[in-house]
Amino acid sequence: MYKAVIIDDEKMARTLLEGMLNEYCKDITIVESCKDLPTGVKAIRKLNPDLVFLDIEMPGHSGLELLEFFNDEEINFSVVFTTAYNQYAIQAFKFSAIDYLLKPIEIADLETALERFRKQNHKQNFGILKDNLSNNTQQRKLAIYTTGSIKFIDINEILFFKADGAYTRIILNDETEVLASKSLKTYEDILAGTPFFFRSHKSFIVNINYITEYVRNDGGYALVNKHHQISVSTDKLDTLLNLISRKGK
Amino acid sequence: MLNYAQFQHQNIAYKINNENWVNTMPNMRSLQFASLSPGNYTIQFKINNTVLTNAVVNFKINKPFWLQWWFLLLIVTVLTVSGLVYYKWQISLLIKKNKLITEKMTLENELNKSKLTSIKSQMNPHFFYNALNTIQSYIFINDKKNASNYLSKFSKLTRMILEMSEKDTITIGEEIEALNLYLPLEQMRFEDDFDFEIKVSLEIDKEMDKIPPMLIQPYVENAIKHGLLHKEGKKNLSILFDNIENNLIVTIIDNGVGRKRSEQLNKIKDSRHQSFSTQANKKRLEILNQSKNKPVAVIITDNYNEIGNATGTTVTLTIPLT
Repeated sequence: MYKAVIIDDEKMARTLLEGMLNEYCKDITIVESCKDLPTGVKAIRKLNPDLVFLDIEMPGHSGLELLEFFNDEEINFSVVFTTAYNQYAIQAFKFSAIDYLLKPIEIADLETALERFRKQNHKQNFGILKDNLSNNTQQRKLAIYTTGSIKFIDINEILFFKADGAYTRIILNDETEVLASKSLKTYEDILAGTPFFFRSHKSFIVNINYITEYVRNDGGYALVNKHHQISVSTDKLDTLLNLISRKGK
Repeated sequence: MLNYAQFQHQNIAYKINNENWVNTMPNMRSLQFASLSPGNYTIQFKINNTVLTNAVVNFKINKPFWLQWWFLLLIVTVLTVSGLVYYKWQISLLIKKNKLITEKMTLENELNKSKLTSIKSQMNPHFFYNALNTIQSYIFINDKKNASNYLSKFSKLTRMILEMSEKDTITIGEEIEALNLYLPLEQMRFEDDFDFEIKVSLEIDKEMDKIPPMLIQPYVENAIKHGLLHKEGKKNLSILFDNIENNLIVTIIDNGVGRKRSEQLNKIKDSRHQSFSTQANKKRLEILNQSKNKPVAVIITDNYNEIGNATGTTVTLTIPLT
């Protein structure tokens, strides 16, 4: 049996999650339901839960502040964030590969999150989440699922993403390559708010900071770090050239 | 002219330039030419058919000043300059007119945009999804009555907001109806007591008096979000509608934590967190007031008790009735 703590300021939301867990996740026992962050922190210290369901938008303290109350070593519990609407936090979760649930909660999503928790095949990296929440978009670290591990890579070191079937090859500026077990579309979504990544072609997302040349021959392609050829669709060309020239200003 | 006594009985003739000889009248002592055109003239005389070579008169008649080159030049210059000035003036008039039209268009655009933002602010995504989540909760605990009540209130409110977004003005009655749908939905989110009252003075004609739609709701939402949500214990909200000298006076009083404390709390929480409705409201008022000669006024007062503790916030809206 796993012990769980729920932290949410709305009574109905707590009732709902308790009900769902009782009904669909028999191996989870709710040891405490808290209505704000301070009582939640106390409950965690006292009861040592395996899992914490944490609402983000609460009066007084936001759920994201939970991380400020614990050191990285102290966090020996998993966290599933719940939120009705917070684009900014969701973006950070995606970047950091942190589990979150959108309200109203779909039972299938809850089960998927718990499946991942039970396998414990990766330890959630809250240090990365903290960095990604506090830093601006320029200095983020991206969590990349590979077979067997999650790599955290500074997005400034990424030259480009190349689709490889359902997988994605990620080429870094030290010329090494990471094979990610997610599709190119996944990374396009995650990087949506990052201005220097651009989907130039159905098979490529390129870091425009590394583009050294645009060659008009052979249907047109961009050169990254002087030797990687990145295809550019004709309809994306204008946008790409605009992005690059704006950057120069 | 010719004044020599010895010629008194002679026939005197004269000619101008190379014209024909003209005899003078006997005893005529002077010659007068009243209508000579400008030019050089030579007058010769002869007496008894003898041409007098030593009595030649040369003279020149100047062109009148209006035919002089400098005057013509002046006229041409003046005409050209005034023509140019007129042309420029016309152009600037046109530019001004165009500018006015563009300004009006931007204003209308902004107004439309602000209408959209105000819809959005009422349909604050967070409020929207939380409402749906609450409905899910009622379904899950099998509370059919509350689930269906909440759902129908929520749909009524959504419907009203969509309808209002089409209109430039709504009646005060409609605004109050929307508040009466919105507030119970917020009420159900609070665990502790949250009471609200809406009082309408008899001076107000709920069916006839009109105001811009959704002007009041964002301030009510603010009172809840920033004042009451942080408060422990009993939460009260009063909204009073009154008519003073053809102005609608709306007073929104909460007994929340006050603006200072709320600001501190939000600062701790997330520096990036911005009050969406406050910003949207400010912008909307600015635009509304640009196109009106009688502006909508907002006064926010922080309330304190006798020992100086914050006891809430009062917002007073003055909306001219048309």
